[in-house]
Amino acid sequence: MTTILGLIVIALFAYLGTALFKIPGLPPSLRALIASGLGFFLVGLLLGPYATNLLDAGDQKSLDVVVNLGVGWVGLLFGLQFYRRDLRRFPARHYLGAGVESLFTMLVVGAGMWAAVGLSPWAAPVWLTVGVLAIVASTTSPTIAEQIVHDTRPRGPITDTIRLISSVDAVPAIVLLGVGLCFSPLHPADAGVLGSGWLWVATACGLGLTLGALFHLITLYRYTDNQLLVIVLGLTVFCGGAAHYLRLSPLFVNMIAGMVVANRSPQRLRILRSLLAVEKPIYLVLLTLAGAMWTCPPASLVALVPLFILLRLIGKFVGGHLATTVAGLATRSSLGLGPGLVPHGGMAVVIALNVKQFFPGALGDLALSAAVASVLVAALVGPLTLQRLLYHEGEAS
Amino acid sequence: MRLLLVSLFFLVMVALCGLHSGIPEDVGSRAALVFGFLMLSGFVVGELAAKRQIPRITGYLLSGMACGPSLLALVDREVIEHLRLVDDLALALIAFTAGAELKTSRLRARARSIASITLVQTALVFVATGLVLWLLRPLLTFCHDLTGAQVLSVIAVLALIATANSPSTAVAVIVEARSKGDITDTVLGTTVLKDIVVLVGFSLVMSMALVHFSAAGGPGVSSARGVLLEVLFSLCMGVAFGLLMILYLRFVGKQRMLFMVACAFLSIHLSHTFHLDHLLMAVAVGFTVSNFSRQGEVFLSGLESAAGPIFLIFFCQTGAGLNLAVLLSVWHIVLIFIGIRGLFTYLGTRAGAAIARDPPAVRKLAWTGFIGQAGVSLGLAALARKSLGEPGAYIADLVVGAVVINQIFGPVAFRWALLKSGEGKKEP
Repeated sequence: MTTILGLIVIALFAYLGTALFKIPGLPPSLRALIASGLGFFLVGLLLGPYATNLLDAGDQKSLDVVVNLGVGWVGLLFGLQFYRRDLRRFPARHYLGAGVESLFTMLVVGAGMWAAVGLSPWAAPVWLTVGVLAIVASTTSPTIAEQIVHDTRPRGPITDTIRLISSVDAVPAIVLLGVGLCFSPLHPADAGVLGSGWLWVATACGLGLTLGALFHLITLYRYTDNQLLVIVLGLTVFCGGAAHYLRLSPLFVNMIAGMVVANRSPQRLRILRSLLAVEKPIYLVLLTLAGAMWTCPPASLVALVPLFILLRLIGKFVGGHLATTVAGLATRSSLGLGPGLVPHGGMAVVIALNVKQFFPGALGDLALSAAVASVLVAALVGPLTLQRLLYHEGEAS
Repeated sequence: MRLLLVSLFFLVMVALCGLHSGIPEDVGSRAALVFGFLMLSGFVVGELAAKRQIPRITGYLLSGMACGPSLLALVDREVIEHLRLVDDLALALIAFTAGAELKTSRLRARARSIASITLVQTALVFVATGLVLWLLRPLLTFCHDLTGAQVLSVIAVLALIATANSPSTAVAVIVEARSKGDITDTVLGTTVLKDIVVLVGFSLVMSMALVHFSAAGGPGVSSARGVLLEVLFSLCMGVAFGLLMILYLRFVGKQRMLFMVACAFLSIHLSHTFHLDHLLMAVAVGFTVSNFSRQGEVFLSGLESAAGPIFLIFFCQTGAGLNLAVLLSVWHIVLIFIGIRGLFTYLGTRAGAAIARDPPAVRKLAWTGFIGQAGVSLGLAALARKSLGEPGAYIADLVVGAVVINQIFGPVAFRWALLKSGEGKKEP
């Protein structure tokens, strides 16, 4: 009975998602909410131990491979964006602005959380909790920006910069996650032939470069689109699995591998197309699994979530203002690009899922809860603030 | 050159194992790494096989075997068990494809042939294999301490397993060769129908065997009734799932592949919960969607476009799960078993096709589609191992050994037959 119920739930959500999306004149917030795929998180919740238990703990463990594939997939796809010639289309100060905004948001969320986490009884190292939350907070969703651009068809430097920043501002988050995990308790000081955190960082970078090079070499042959998809799938699982095996971030390692492929492989665009072709299904599966894996953290930690969202909004607004200054842009609004950088999306959930893989306890649950709640709030608020900014700046009419 | 690259990936794995020492062991992360390597090596070996006009799935199986516990030992039992759900998902999707390929419009023309071949071949292989094994019983070491009735029942179990085929292997070869025609339809229809016959037959034979081995065995008839109900219920559930899928394809239509994966997962869950036959249920899903809706073509093309990764995952894992050491321990009996099975499969198919007045190509070549053995045979062997003590373990070892050989040569022979008959297309 529960199986049939599960099937009906999935079909119903898919139907509602599709049917609602087709309604003309739907508010952008609702469209963003549907596009964020959070409905699938809810499907996961309904399939998981909290409801039907169709995806029980055993199944979730067996589907580790799929989580690894998904996380690695996102990392690789993200890394593939960094093609040297494409990057040159924007001045360096724009990238600097993206970095400043991202790091500032981390700083604000980190500082606030440090004070709050320090007050609650907490088993995991405080720096790790604070770091993870700061990293999750710092990313911006390019999907919502693209949706608004698609709806309002704005033109101008503010629009271009917001699209750029929301596409690249996850770099500091992924790098810090990759480095942070190397210093975390996942790698005891005397573990293996490598003892110190920096050696693990070097290993992660080396692994990414090596796998990127091998990826490039094996994709040098001529393949049909289907064959390329199979090989990209295999390579992504392998790269993600290799990172996970050494308790390194698959996002970080695969991002480096993706960067190598982007800049070395003549098949870059075909690989990118292969990855994009199945991006949505993989992302939705990840969200479903995230929903099934989620367990409610202790009440003292749940109380941190609203604070997290508030701090992130402050960080994004002020960070956006700083980014405007660094990028040398002139805006009519004193808040600069800030309101355009509120959207939060898939990358935050994937980072949280990556954390949950390594820390399945309260830390993982807190990260996932914070990410999902923030994506939900940002889906409701983000499109409005972004749209308002673009109208105010005269780039959308 | 590509093999050299796979060797480099292997070296990376070896290096990772060196770096990993000291980090707590976790099967999940090891499984992901091994799974990735299996996919890469399987892909490369599969492509090399395809270049020589050998089915890709043979390459996948060989690559899996090489990575398995008997050779490189990259994949151990723990990892195989960990990846069981992924394997089941792939099998369900293959079974969807098998069901979707069974078009009533085409099968109606082949119904006589399918029924005739199923009956004649199953009966002949069962009786003749049983008879030959009975005559060869001095060679079968497990028979020495058993009574006559016990030997007979064990031989009957083994003879029944000999009749089992692999619908998943047949459909993989058919899809890969883009084959269409009489042989294709006959083999596909027969393997699926035989699956039902073998399941019912096995429960009957097993019940009788259990009577001779312990008091635990119930009367055969009630057990057969149970299996018949299981088969019926599996088919009904499959039809119900199929109807839900039709509704989805009709009214939603988005993210079809994702929905199919979800259905595959839920069908696995359902079959576990109600002890249904997973393969039959999934075949019924595919059959329903393909035959009772306008979305059948879309459904099948969606499955076929995803066939590459699905076959790769399934057959690499199947290969990795085969125990080659067992084959070495009973190789002479395995060879006899394979020989008898092959011979009577050929004769049974020929006779069945002759009775149905099939065209010469079907009479001569269709038997090659019934050589492959995989999941069903291994599952029945595992049941025998669990229920019949030492003789059961011997049967299981013998069947595993036979599956290793049949799974390598079966797809090669079937592909050759499809190409020779003009139904299949060569690799470009």
